[in-house]
Amino acid sequence: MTDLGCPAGSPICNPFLYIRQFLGGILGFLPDPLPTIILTVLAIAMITTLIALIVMSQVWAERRVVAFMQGRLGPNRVGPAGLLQSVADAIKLLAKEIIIPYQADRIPFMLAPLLVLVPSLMVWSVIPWGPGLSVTDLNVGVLFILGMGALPTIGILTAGWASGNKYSVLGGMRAAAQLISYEIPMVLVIAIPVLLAGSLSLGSIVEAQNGAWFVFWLPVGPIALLLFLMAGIAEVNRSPFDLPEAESEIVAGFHTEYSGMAFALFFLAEYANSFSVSAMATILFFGGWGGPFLPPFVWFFLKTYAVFFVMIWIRGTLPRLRYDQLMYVAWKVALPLALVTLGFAAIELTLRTAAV
Amino acid sequence: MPPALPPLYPITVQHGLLLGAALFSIGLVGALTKRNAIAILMSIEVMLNGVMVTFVAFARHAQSPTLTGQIFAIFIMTVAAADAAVGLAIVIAVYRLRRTVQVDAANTLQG
Amino acid sequence: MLLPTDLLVAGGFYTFAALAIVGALGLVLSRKVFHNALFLTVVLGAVAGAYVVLGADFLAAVQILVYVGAIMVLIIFGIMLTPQNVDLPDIAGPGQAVAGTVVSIAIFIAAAGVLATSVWPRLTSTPIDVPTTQTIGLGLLTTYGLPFEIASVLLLLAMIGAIVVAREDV
Repeated sequence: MTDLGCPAGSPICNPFLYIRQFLGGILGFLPDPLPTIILTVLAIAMITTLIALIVMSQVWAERRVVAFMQGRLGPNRVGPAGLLQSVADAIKLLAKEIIIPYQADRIPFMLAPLLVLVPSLMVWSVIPWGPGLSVTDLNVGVLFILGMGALPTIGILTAGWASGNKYSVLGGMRAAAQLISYEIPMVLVIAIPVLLAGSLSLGSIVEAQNGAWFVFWLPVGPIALLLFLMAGIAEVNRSPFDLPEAESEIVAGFHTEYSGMAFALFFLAEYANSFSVSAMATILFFGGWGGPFLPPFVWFFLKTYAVFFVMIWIRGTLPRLRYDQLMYVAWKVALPLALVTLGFAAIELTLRTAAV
Repeated sequence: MPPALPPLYPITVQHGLLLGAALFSIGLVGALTKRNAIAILMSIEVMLNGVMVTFVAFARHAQSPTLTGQIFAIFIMTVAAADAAVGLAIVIAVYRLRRTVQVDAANTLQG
Repeated sequence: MLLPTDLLVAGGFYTFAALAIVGALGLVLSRKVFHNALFLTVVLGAVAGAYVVLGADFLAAVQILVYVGAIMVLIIFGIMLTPQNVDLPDIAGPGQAVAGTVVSIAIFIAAAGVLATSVWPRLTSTPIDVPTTQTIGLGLLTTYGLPFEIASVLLLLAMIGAIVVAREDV
């Protein structure tokens, strides 16, 4: 699919691979593992900067799109069409004082935002932006991402408990219960593209979709995609599953006592997480970076942003689920449906490979 | 054979086994000296992790390439999960009766 | 000059081993139960890193996903559901603490002595050329199929047992 008008080896199609080969040639005089280490560190720095910029654009996009859906304008004063609103928010959050309440446990209080943010950023080290364009392509990439998706639960529990405040503890426990409840359907649904591709590495999953995207494997693809989006939105604590952190509910849940840069880290982690859920949806179901005529990383970016737009759309449209309804959906709707879909996917794969 | 310390590098089987033994002993200290039932459960998890490291070290340094150690480590992880779940359920049930999780509180059969 | 990979592997192993031992010591020495839980998370993460160095990549990912992601959350929920009003002393009486420490050090010295004096058939690592995930998967379903099924029954029993024991008697 990448051969239509964009030959894979040319520098225009894949500038980052070209830059990597160029730098690798320059650094060739260093002893053996050092060039790889230097290139990996550069790639990590680049991806971290890119994610920070993407999060700022996401905040702007979400506020504008939700505002248009609600019949108002959204940020439109700071910069052209309000584009610098995220910069203004970032400066405000940086300048605010971090207040640590008297009853809080200081070290876990300051550690909790890191426990939430670091796994969200580590997910980006295995996501392929193009053929061969990930920081590393682990051959247990999908399991690594699932593991990194399970770590923020501990950060949220620590944040809730370390604030020393009943509402935070309750908010933390509710958020953690929601996260672990939706982790099970998510793991089962992620097993479906892994089964269809035959590998846990993300690069192989994208390359296995060269003929047909996994969302088009008719009975199971769309259902798996819907379940993945549902579980993903619940994992990120976005509406309609954002009861644990809704402002009108339990003050602000587990991040009541956080202000300034610590709150900014939670905020950054939530948007980075929602972008990584969108990226996983494109890799697992929509063919990753495949597509005609455009360079692969442009396709990846467009598809991921399209999925993120759908997530914003869902936020602007659906009302918030009550907590017991949320748990009901996780355990009595999503989990049986995920199990049945996984079974059907296995049967369909056997029939298709036996028929060939 | 007289006791010999393993060399600093390359990593031999003795390094992995020493790490497993160290984790096991430190977990044992916690399991024997702590009074909070949940802290004892956590020390037991450290001991189980030490045992898992031992199995993986054996799998790595086996005579012929084999992954039996890693498969067994997965089984140990399963058993550890089941044991943590049931242990915490018991702690919560005792808490409901005695309002405390100190193991000294569950001493009705003592004496 | 070629940096030998053995040195890098040794450096990685020592880093994760030191982190695991420091975390375990922190677990034993700290007084509050929530701090113990955070130190246990450090130990579990460091052991996962040690697995990567020892060539068990699938096991490292499963360790993070299951142990840190699920069992730690379970333990922290248990800590939050059993709050106590007064922070009672955590270590049992001084006699018991000393006896426990002496016994553990004795066990460690015995184990280290056995390790140092026995003859190992192969000291250095076996290069594992097979892909670990596929081999473990095939092994779990063919050679070790019976323990696999028994493990799943065990988990079901543990789940039902935990629910029954911890349920409020309404």
